[in-house]
Amino acid sequence: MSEYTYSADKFVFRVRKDLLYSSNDVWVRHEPDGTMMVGLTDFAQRRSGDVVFAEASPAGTKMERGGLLGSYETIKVVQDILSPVAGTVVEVNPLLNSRPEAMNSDPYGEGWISIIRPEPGTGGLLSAEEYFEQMKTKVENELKKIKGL
Amino acid sequence: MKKPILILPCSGIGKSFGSIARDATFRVCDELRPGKADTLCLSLLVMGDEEARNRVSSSRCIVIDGCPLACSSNNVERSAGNIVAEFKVMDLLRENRGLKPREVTLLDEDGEKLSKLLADRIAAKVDELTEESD
Amino acid sequence: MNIKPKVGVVSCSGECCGLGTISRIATRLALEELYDETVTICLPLFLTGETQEHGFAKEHPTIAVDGCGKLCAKKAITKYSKDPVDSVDVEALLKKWGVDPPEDRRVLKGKDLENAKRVAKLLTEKVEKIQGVS
Repeated sequence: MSEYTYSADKFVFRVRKDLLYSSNDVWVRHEPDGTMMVGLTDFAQRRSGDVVFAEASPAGTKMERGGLLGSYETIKVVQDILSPVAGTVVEVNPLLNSRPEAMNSDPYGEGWISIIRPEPGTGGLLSAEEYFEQMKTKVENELKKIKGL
Repeated sequence: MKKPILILPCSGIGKSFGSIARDATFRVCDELRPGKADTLCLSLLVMGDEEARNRVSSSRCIVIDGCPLACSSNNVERSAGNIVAEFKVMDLLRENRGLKPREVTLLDEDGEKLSKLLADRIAAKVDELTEESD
Repeated sequence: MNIKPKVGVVSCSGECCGLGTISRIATRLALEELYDETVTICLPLFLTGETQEHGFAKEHPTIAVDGCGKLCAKKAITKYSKDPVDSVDVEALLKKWGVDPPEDRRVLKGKDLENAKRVAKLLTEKVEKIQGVS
């Protein structure tokens, strides 16, 4: 799979080139039936740590862009997951309940969060290249925070 | 004298889960079930130490994984270890949602609590395995 | 601008004895002191073949911290990346200082914790020497 990668310390942050993104570190994949599959980016899962709990708004929930799609909890943080698009939740990944660590081990694959049927005219998503640039800045800012700068 | 059950924790140095796995192992081997449970260095095993390999293949092994990377179970499996039980620190964390073990170097209060809970579970397993072979 | 090179540290956490505990805690204490200048690499993960860890150790100077003369960390770094630039053998160090190894492998207290801090200080000095600041 073609990816952009960025190294910092011993970590390599991956951004898949075949996906779209939101500024809130959520990836989006267009499905053949017009729905969108969404999940957390590699950067988001690494920053937060091992996911212990995760939950998502159930199927049928109407979502605004930027609305609360779900949340996840690590020992460090409780983090909201914001919807990258307006639409209706069609399906939630059952693994969120039984194996939320999939969000860490395979954020772009089996760690997906929800499938959303977007409202017509949905746009405003970032290309992989655009998100990659944003992500690099975020990584650098995180490192500065750690250094106390 | 019966062969002790071998407990192999992951000991990951980057996360509190590794410290908890390690701490719980010592609680069982040195305090709760001395003589019935023992441990050995996971790294020594993976580096191919013959004595370590012989011990894991000829003993009943309990593995403790700190995080989903599962270094202990993966490495013991690869070394043809006889795994009879697996414990995951993350599973225990899920059962005890209020606990947030953050410190890695020296366990904090929540880390100590989780270590004790884990150690009790493992000790019970050691008892079960020991009875089976009686 | 930070021009000091990052230094990797790979430590054993040897479960067999308290020397592994000193090794682990000393490494953690040094990491806390030099947080933005060192990267601690988890030995079990390193041995599993996690390529990001190997990649880092190939590109950056790396120090091995071993609890005893079996030198698992040092051998692992050599095997999977390149020779470490420096190393610490806690067992040899304690003998040199004329102090006893810890009896309790789970909790370091009193003189054992002081010994761990002393090893941490030595490790910090080694890192700074590699970085050219001492």
